Order: sequence, then C-alpha cells, then structure tokens
Amino acid sequence: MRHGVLKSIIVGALVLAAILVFIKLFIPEVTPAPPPKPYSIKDPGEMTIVDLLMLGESTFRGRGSCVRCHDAPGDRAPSLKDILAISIETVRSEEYKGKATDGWAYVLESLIEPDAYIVKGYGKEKSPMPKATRNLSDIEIKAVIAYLKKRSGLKVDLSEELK
Amino acid sequence: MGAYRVILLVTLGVYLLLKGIGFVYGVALPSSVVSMYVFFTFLVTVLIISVTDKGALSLTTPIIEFLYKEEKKKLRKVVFVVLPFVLAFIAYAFTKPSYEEPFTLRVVHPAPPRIVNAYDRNIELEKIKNPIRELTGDAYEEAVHDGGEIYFKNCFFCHGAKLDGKGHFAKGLNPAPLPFTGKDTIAQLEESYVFWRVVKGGEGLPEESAPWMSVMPVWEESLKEEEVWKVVTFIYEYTGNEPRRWEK
Amino acid sequence: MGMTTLRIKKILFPLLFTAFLMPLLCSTAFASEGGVFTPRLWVWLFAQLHLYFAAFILSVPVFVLILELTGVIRKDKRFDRVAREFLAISVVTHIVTVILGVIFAAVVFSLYSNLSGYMYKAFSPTVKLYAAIIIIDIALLYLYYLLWSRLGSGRGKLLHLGIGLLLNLSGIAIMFIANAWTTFMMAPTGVDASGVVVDLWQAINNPLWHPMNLHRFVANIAFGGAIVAAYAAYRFLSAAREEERARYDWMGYIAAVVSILALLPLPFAGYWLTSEIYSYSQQMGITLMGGVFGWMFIAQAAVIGTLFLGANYYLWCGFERAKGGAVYRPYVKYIAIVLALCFLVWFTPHTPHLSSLELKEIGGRFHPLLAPLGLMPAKNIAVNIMILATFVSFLLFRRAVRSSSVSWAAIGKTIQAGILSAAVLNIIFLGVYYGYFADSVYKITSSIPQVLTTLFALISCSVIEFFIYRGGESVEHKWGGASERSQYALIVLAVSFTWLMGLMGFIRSAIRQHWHVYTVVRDVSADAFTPTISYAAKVVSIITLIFLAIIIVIFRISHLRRAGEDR
Repeated sequence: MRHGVLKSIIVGALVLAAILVFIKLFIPEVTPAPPPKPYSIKDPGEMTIVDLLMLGESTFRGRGSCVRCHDAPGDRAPSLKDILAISIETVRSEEYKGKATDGWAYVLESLIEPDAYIVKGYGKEKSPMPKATRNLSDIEIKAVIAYLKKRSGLKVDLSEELK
Repeated sequence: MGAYRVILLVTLGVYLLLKGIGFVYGVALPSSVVSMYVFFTFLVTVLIISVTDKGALSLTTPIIEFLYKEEKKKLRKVVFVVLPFVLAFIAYAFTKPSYEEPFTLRVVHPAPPRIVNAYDRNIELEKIKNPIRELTGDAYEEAVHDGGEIYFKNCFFCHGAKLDGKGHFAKGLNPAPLPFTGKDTIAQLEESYVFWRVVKGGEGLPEESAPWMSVMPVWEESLKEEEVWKVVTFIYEYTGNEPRRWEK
Repeated sequence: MGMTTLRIKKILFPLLFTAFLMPLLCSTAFASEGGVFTPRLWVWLFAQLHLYFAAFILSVPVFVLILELTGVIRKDKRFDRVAREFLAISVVTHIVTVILGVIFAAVVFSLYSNLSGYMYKAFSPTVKLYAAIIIIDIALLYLYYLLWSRLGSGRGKLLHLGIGLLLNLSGIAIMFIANAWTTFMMAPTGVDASGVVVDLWQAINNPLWHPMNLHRFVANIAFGGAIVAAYAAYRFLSAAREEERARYDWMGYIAAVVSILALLPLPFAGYWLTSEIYSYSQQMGITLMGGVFGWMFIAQAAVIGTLFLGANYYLWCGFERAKGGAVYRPYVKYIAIVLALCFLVWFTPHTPHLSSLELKEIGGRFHPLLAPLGLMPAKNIAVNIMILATFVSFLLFRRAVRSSSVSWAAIGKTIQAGILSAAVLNIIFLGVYYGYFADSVYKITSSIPQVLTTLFALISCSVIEFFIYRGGESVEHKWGGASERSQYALIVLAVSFTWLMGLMGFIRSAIRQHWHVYTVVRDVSADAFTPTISYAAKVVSIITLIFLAIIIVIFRISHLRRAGEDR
C-alpha cells in the first residue's frame, strides 16, 4: 500500500491549517456591530430638537448609509466635511444648473433628486447616489439636514427644521 | 543545502527591499503587510524550486537526513527538545492578552471649514480680517487692554495667568488646554483660525479631532464678536507671537 | 526514486509537533452567548454540507456528458471509461445529498419555523415542482448510469447522450429553483408593503437570480472538477499497478483542466453578481465590501491566490512529463514571479492592520504607498494578469507533449507573445488611467474593457495555438509518470476550493445581516449578529473537514467496490 488516503488527508489538513494560521496572523479580529434595535421614530409633534438631531445623526451614520461613501475610503462621493462652504459655493457657481437658491436647499435637492446637479468627477449624466426617498421618510431627511446644519455650527430651530 | 540557501537569500532580499522602500520613502511599510509579503515570497520560492524532481529532492533530503541519519542524532535530540518550547512560546505569544496602549488619532489643529456660521451670518474664514489690527495708537492699546480684561474674566481659569496653558482647571482636562506661549500653537495659525476656535469651541471641532472632544466653550454664546477679536489680539500681543499671514 | 518517496511515518512524526500550534488556532472562543451549538450553527452546518454535495452532483453530469461526447467524437474509449467512473462516484453521493437535504429542511423548519413558514407560503408551487424534478432527476441518473454499457454503440449511444442531456437539464432546473429562494432572501421583489409575496414570478425572477445562476453553475463545475481531480490524485497515490497510475494520472489531468477552465471566468461571474447586489441595494453592496466583510475578502483573496498557485504548480510539474517539456522549465520562474506580484497586489488590504506605533508614524490608516494597491482597480489588473499567466502555463503544458508541423510556427508564437504582452499593457493602462486618474464613474466601467482584453487574448491565442499544432504529432510520453507533488497540488486545489466556497457562501448569506429576508423578515433570534471572521473561518473549516471526511469514505467505498469488480 502506498498510503494514498493518509497522504491525501494530511495534505488536506495542512491546507486547512495553513488557511487558519493565515487568518490568525494577518487578519485582525474585528467584532462586528450588534444588530440595530428595531426601528421606531417619534411622532414629529412629540419631538424635541435633541430628538431630531439624534435621529439625524443615527440616520446619517446608519440607515441612510451616507458615511459609507461620503468621507469614506475610496473617494466614491464628494466630501461633506465642509458642507456649509461647499453648498454655498456650488449654488453661487455658474456651472450649477439645479433649482436651489441657497446652500441648504441645494443639499435637500441633492438628497431627493441627486441627478439635478452632479459634482464634477462623480458621475456624468447620472449620479451614483441613490435617492434618499428610496428608504428614508420625510422626517428622516429633515433630520439629516438638521444634523448637517448643527455639525456645520449653525443654530438649528425645531419649528424651522420641521417646516 | 543549496535550495535552502536560495530560499533564505530570496526571502531575506525581499524583506530588505520592502524595508528599504519604507526607509527611502520615509514612512515604513506596515509590518503586517511586510510579513505577509515575505511569507508569500517564501512560499512561491519553495514552489518554484520544488517543480523539478531535482529541486524537490534538494528540499527534502536535508530534512530526511536530519531526521534519520545516525550522525545527526545529537542535533536531533537538541532540536526535538527545544522545538516544542519554541512552538509553545509562539502559541503563548499569540494567545496572551496584549497590554498595548490603545491608540487613537486626534488631530490637534484640524483643517478649518471655509465658511463658518457665527453671529447669525456666514463668515468666510479666508477673507475675514481682524478689525482690531486696523486701529492705531491709543485705540489699539486700549483694545488690547480690553482683550486682557476679557481674558482674565473668561479664559485664564484654564489657559493660565501666564497664557501657558496651566490654569487652575488645566490638570483636570484631557485634552489639556493649549498654551499660547511658544512657537507651535497660535504662532503657526492665522488669526481667523484662532477666531474660529474661540467662537465655535470644542463643539465645533470636526470629527477627526475626536475622541475626547475639547471642553472649550462655544464663546459665540457669551462674547460679542468684537470682544473675541480683542481677546485674540491680546493673546498675540502678550506672548509676542505674530499671527501667520499668507501675504504681507 | 529512493529518497523522493517520502515515507508517511517519517512525515507524520514531525507533524505531531505542529500540534503545539493548536492554541494559536483556538485562542478565541467558539461559543457565543447561546452556547456552542446555536440554532444558527445547525442550519449553517447542514445547509453548507447539503450545498457541497448538491454542487458536486450537479456538476459531475455536466462534464460526464462533455467527456462522453468527446469520446464519441474522437472515438477514444478512455473518455468513455473516465466519464463512467465519474458518474459512479456521483451516484453514491446522490443518496448522501438527499439525506442531507432532508435533515437541512427538518432543521430549518424546526428551528426557524417563522421564516420557513413565510418562505413556504410564498413559494409553495415551486417547492412541489422542486420535489417532482428531484424524483425525475434521480430516475434519469439511474437510467443514465445503468444503461451505459447496454446503450454502448450506434443509435443507442445517441439515446444515451440524450438521457445525459435531460439529466443535466433537470439538474440545472433544480439549481435554478433553489437559487430563486436564496436570492429572494437577499433581494426580495414582487412583495407588497406588508411583505407578502404578491407576484410569484417576480419573486423568482429577482435581480440576483440570473447572476447567481451563472455564478453557481460555473463555480459548481470548477468545484466538481477539483473534487474529481482530488479523487484521481488519491487513486494515483494509492495505485499499485502501472496501468492504474496511468489511468488516474490522465483522469486527474482531465478533471484539473475542466476545473481550471471553469476557474478562469469565475471572477467575472462574481463581478456581475456583486454589481447586481450593489445596484439592488447600495447598502448591502457596501456592507459586502467594507468593515468585517472587507477583511473576509482579504482571506478570500489569499485562498484564491492559493488556487491559482496550485493550478499553476500542477501545470508546471507537468512540463516534465515528456522530454521536450524541459525546454519550458526556465519559464516557470518568470510566470511564478508575475503570479506572485499579482497575488501580493491582490490581497493587499486597503486599510492594513497597524500597530499603534505605526499608526502614529503614518498618521492615518492608509499607508500612502500601499493605499492605491488596496483599491479595486489594482485588484482588477492583478486578477486579469493572473488569468493570463495561468493561461500561459496551460499553453506551455500542452506544448510539452506536442510538436508542430507547420512552417510558420515560430511566427505564430511571436504573434501570441505580442498579443499577450499588448493585452497585459492594455490591462495595466486601463486600470491605472481610469482607476486613478479619470472621473470616478469610469472606475467600475473600466473593468469591462479589461475583461474584454483578457478574453480577446485568451481566444486569439487559443486559435493560433490550435492552428500551429493542428496535424502535429503528439510527442511520445507516458501517463502515470506524474510526480506525487503534482498530485498534492490537486488535493490542495480541492480543499481550498471547498473552503473558499464555504466562506463565500457565508459572506453572501451574511450580508443580509439581521434580516432573514432582506428588509422584509427580520431575524429576531439571539443569533442575529454577524460573527467574527475567525469564528466564521473555524466553522467553515469544520464543515469542510466533515465534507471531506464523508467524501473520502465515499471514495473509499467506490474504490473498494471497483477493486472487487476488477477482480
């Protein structure tokens, strides 16, 4: 006998061991985030400004998946770090063809109608960005904008934002 | 032993090359990537050598000789006693918990936004000028004096009486309040930057400055715009620093 | 041979020492909060085992039919014989597949009754169809197998081939139906606002259905080929007689070539599936490529690299099987270096694992020199060149036992070399220019001309090759002379394929995260979290071990049975 079975088993086991050792040595142990809590939004009437901003931030980072592209590795989407300046400058620029007249209206327009104006270098006729209305409700979109305003250092007012 | 020498040389060569690239570039390549590259270089070299019968033989013969030749008995005994300990140590090194300090990046002076919304208007930081600097003579002196008064009423608790960042509360804060003395804080910054930091405080810092957000208050809420400029001028005057300017 | 035949006892002894490395592999706990054997683990185990066997039995008839047809066309009895032997293995595994399928169904229905109830309600007509086709499939399989020698010649052979075709069609139908269920769970369409399936056809014909059908079909062939090649390797290694060695050497060669040829288009089928996942749900697509799963792709890249290296290694060893092949030996190291370079780019992570000191030094998570290598354009360049390099190995492997009789052979070879180098340059140019310097929209679309370049090079070189060696004499060489190392490469191929399939299946399934049916039926059980990479890798390894153990027993049985028949 030439130990065909034994040789095969040993080679096979070595392959598995090598893969596991590779993973152990070269792949960091990342603990994935636990599943999110079942989703519920307060009625707009009962919301405080803090509720709105928290909803905005959690939508921005979570359900809306904005941060998956914006300011993420890979340069898939324009940076939102300096959104106040960018939005104002965009609306002022001659290339801008959309309907918005001020910066925040432009941000809203980009959320619900991404194709209205496409930032240079991020798409030709169609923006790669999905419409926010695809999976976000009206209040969530408002909350995201309120959060972005707050993040840019603007004062946000509840009744103003819920309009 | 020829085959093993080749493997050793190639592997070592690639290792040194990778280290060399890091050295020339100035930023070393991450060790995890280097070890991964070296590991696969080793693997591929073994594969290339073992393609031919002769090569395979030159790889296996030394091992078999080592394991079964009578002359190598002593060496064998030593290795078989030491090897388990080496392997056990490797296993131990991988399983023991690490006490490495958790490291998080925190940018002390992040890039400022181009436009800041403060005092109910959009302020373009690149264009804004310090109005106090346009004053001359006594008016200027008086403004700086006012700035000093504002400083000691508001800022000195943390930033210190000598503007060295060693105020009463400084020890309790992390990140610690920055000193204005020395050449590496406000001397490196434009006045508009300092204005932004005072007006928007720790809360206005962008994300790259997290975690341990600074507790610098948002002074927009308690100081007038003119007062902020007075304080800014004061800290430059007092420490003898010049604000950074892009043109004369 | 002398020292080359490593005696197994001699190897086994030092191997025991590696047992000391076990704590390294086991340093993280297997158990989650719910204990070791959670409901998820049971479902995972049986689903994956069932899938392995199903993939195997669906793919074997595909190339059995091709081999039988080749045998008829070439009038070569060897093909017929090998085809029959493949089929014999497949018949035994059919029973195991059905048993595992029943266990899997029982486990899902008892542990996840909510989900299975929903799925059954939505898909009940297809479930009945599925059961019916399975019965037809088994009937056809037995007909195909038992009538092999009776329908051995003339019109009978045609009828037999017809049965084989029907068998394949029913197998494909089974796979399509099961794929519809799986892809519906990822990309539910045809559902109303409350999640009830209103349009069954739309639910079946969801955006991921066809990409998955194609990807699984091609992958099954590569997987089945690898397993059969490993079987041949095992028989080769245990063969005592010269003619047995010759037969299994040849069988291993055929199966390995089938597997490698199916492996080449697989990355592109994968791209199609991924891009459809992206366009169905951006979020799901990005979950797939970032975070935890991003690291799993690094593991995947390493194993795919192993597959390519293993396949090439097998081909390189084959250069030596005839005297003429020695001419090509010097090319091995160049091909290997190209492969190795591609391989390194292929698994360079975008955000490498950094120690805190390195983080401080680099001042960010991306190393400026390595970050571009971590992005998709670099990976695309690498995989395309890897495919071309493997193709070159394959050409040289064939040439080792052939001689050309045409006068323009040298010119033809120069043209081939020109095409290949131009293709490589074009692939690099497209990747570098569109990937890093052009508008970001072209980043993804640039991969299409790259693929076309690769395909063009593959096809045009194959055509030239065919005409160069048409009518040429096959150089005298004996099957059975393969080295044991080349056979080990085949086993490596099979094991890494099995493991890879398990991991990728896990990833595909896990990107639904805490959803059973994405955005429709939420997984509310305690196991709804995404496990860590090492946990997933260990589970996949254990399932691979179980699968290989069962397969070895099956091989053993059919081996002994055949040994009995031969006597």
